[in-house]
Amino acid sequence: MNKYKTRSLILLIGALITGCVERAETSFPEQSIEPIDMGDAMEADLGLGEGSGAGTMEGTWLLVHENSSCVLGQEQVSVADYLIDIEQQGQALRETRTICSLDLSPVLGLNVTVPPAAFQSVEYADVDLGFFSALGEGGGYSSSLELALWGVRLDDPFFEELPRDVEDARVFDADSDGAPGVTFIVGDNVCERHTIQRQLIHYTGSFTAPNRIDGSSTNLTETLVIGGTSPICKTSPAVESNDSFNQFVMVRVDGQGGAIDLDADNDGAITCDEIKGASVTLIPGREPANANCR
Amino acid sequence: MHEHAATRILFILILITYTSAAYASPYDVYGTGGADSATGLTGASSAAGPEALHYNVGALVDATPGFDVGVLAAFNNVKILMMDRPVGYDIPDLGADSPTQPSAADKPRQDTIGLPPLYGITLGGSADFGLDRLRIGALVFLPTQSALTLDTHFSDERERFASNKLHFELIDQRLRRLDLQAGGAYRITDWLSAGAGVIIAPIASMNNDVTLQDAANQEDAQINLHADTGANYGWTLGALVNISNTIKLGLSWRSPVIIEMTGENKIYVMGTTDSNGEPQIITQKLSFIPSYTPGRANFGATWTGARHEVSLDARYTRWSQFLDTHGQATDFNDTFSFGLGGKYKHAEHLELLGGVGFEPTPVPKQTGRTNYVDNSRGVVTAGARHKIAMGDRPLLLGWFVQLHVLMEQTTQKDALDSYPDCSPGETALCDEVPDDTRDTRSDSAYPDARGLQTGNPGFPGWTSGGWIGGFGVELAWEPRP
Repeated sequence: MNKYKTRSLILLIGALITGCVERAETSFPEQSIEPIDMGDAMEADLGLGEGSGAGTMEGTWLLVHENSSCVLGQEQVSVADYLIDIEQQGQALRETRTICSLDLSPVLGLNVTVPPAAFQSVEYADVDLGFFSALGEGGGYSSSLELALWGVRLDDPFFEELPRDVEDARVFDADSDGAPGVTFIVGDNVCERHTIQRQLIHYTGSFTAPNRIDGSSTNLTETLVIGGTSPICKTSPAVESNDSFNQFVMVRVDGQGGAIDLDADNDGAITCDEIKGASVTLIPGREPANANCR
Repeated sequence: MHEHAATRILFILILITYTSAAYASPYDVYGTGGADSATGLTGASSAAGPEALHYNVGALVDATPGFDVGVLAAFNNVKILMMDRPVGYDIPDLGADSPTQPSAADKPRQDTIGLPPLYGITLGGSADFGLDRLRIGALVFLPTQSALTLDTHFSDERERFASNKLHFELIDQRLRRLDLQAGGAYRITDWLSAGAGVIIAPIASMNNDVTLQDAANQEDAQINLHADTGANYGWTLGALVNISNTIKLGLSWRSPVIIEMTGENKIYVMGTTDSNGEPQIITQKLSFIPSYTPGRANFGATWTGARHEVSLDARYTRWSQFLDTHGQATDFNDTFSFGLGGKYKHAEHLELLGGVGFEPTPVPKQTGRTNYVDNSRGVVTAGARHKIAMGDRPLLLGWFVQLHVLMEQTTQKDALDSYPDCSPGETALCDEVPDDTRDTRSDSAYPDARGLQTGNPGFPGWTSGGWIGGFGVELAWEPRP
């Protein structure tokens, strides 16, 4: 009996010390996701920039531009995909740009999304020509100036100041969403930012393969926030160029000169839908590094 | 006699119809440090001192005028042990397009092993101001580590950005606070007494002006603090009915007691302007409820014999009104709990005390998004009161010990055929990376977004339990013989 009492006491003390709680095993099933078969798309991507060359730059090219800016001391990295239709006269190039996608990295933890209606409304001023020095590897390339106006029309797109007054007749609802200028979405639909913008970009590079040009860019962006749906969206921080971290890659995509042909529907015109996903293999994008803005 | 008894029972039934009651923590768990702490946390009809303010202010009329001071200490070995996470549910790193932080960037998920001990001083007193039918009293619990602990946590996957662990919802931090109660009671007739009291709960407001000179260097912030403290008030009503010389019934009603913290941060990042060119001020609202004590009704009956006294308390607590530390409504259930206590006069100067109690958990099974942790609790108490002769002004020395056993409980999340997105208001276990999350450059869905991705610290489940031990000593002085 005494032995029984002693054992009970020891068990009680042991239970108090351990807290009597045992870790349970889960019966929640493990999760396994089957990989997606990339199939033909992967093989097609492998051909970007390859080929013997067409002996001319005339045709359709895909340009991927990774641009670095500094906003409130933080780096913002944007990646834009363009389709460029080139007419060549001698070694001069008349370039017609269509922007197909534009991604911006977050600033201060807030993503900024540029809806397609916004970048599709951009108006480009035709101000000069581009040119190249040679079409073989090592040949130089200098683009025409990309002078883009977002949500504003200016008589003198170079020197005229951006209007600050939302009622100014030069400001217009470019993306037809009922708000002046163009509309960016901040955060996960936290609010809308209404803005106008003038952007000047010049690309300089060289042929690294007959159908591929690699290089860097010079960018100057003026942005004015003219409204927003909440105080955070009316914030208008300065955007500073950070060109030493810019890069671009340009590849022929119209099938000429052994290049890949992204004209999926064979209608003779390459569209933004047809180049979707192609640029990731050229510039995969990167995380912003605030050290780049110090 | 039969007619009187029927009248009294009718009165009690009417009072029940109109009343519900609440206790203010930390007295909820440990009692006030008086005889109640040794008798199964009973007192609705048996309280004979300032503890009546907590259980039934109407019973304060039975208090012998005097003062008491005591100390209370509580230790524990409570645990929340997390189940191991099954393979395949981590949040992948999708770069800037990811809707949430990847699991690899989280703090390690942790068990909760033990809580800090609680130490406090209890003070109480009552006076009759020369009127035999009147008592006025006050009761104070003063935690010695901190007069007020304001601590919050999220109940769902958002907590992984903070502690990445689970928290006991109804014990621990919400008990670590100043508790101040005062009230008075009056004996209306020989068989009926009634009283009213007030519970004072601290509140705080904080308004900060923050200027960031360099948004990229947020450690360097210029901050001005404007803090203020105040009080929220709860109130209490109670009645004591003497059915006969040996039987008493008590009823009480207390309102919810809310400790809250409010305010705002006004943040200015230098260089930012609004559309008018003015400095852009971002305002963050602060609104927390670190401690919510729900409304509670208390009913008690006491039978007094020649050398003994037996008391039974039954409590109805409106946990369905409970708000968590972020002020979010919960789906808790109202509960009925009870305490049974006894006193035995072993000798002229020695009274032995004992009791048991049971508090069922109001928290339903946490099989969905939230992780409220609580356990049903069984309580065993014991103690004694020694009368020490000091001329005609006796000193009363009391002590108690308590053991609270948290009934072990295992919780596991429900596995679903498909998981909803973690949108506001969603209550099921939810997907932090919705399957339709797309890479905007390639316009393709992320393969890693398929299925359930969750960093919810309570996923896939946990086991909680353990024990809490409390003890205390009290000295009571009665200034008049």
